[in-house]
Amino acid sequence: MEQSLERLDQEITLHLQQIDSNLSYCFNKISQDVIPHVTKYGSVCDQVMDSSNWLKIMFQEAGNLQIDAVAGNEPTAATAGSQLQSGDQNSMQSLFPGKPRLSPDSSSVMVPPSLVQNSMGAPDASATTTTTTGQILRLPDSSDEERDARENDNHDSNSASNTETAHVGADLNPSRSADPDGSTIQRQRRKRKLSLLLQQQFGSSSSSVAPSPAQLQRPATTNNLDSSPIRKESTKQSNFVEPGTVIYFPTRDET
Amino acid sequence: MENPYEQVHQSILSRIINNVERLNESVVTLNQELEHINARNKNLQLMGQMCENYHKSVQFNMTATNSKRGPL
Repeated sequence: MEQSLERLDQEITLHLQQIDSNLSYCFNKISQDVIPHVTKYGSVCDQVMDSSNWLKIMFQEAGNLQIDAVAGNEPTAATAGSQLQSGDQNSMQSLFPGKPRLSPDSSSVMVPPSLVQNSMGAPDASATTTTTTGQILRLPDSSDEERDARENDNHDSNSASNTETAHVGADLNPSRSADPDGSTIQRQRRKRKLSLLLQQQFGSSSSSVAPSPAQLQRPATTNNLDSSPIRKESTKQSNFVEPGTVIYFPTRDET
Repeated sequence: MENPYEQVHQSILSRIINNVERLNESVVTLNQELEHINARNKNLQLMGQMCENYHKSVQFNMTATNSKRGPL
């Protein structure tokens, strides 16, 4: 009986030590390997965003051009009066708040270039008008699904603004509807920028904090190690040994 | 009957608890990092979708005006 009890106890200690070594291995792996790489990845993503910032500006201005082009095409579409076209315009107008979200300022500022927009938007308008309505409807329908899917993706953050612009834009000119929404969206965007900056600082601070608990708490854990002095070496080894390794406990030798 | 293994078990259990706490903290920090990165990458995703839509509209307009040409 005693022998079996001792065996059981030894097995229990062995398994507990396995669990302990696995946990410490996980912690070291995450704090030393994963988090630095993730922070690197975040910095790389920031660099990508910075380098592709010109695309954002380009699409902002292009979106403003398209808004005016849609406004110019609206009466013809309204005379056509097909529900699918109105649905397309709703989708278009619900799409555009996504772009003024990026630069609502330019929507008001870019009004003078409307003269240039006519030259730019003219081929689009002619293309849409010259083609039959069926051909017009096909591509926007396919894009509608994607846009809807995208709206569903962004539904949490922008559902309110999208629906507002969709309803208002169906009745009024999109330029009118874009301005009040642009002001609110502008504020949201500024808030987001601020939050992004804060997050970047936070990310750096959190990344700097991340290794600190390991460094701070290691001495605390070494205090617990004093119960079994031999385990210090074993755990130090276990930090770099694969998780499945078993640390033999000194009590077995003691018994 | 004092079990000599009891102390050892308790010490190991306390160590395990400490390890779990540290692991939890590190995982929380990792989650925060990933959330930040996700929030940043949403903009990239939007821009990619815009590029895709622009490409589609350009393709449609080119085919509609019969001015589409093959690659050089």
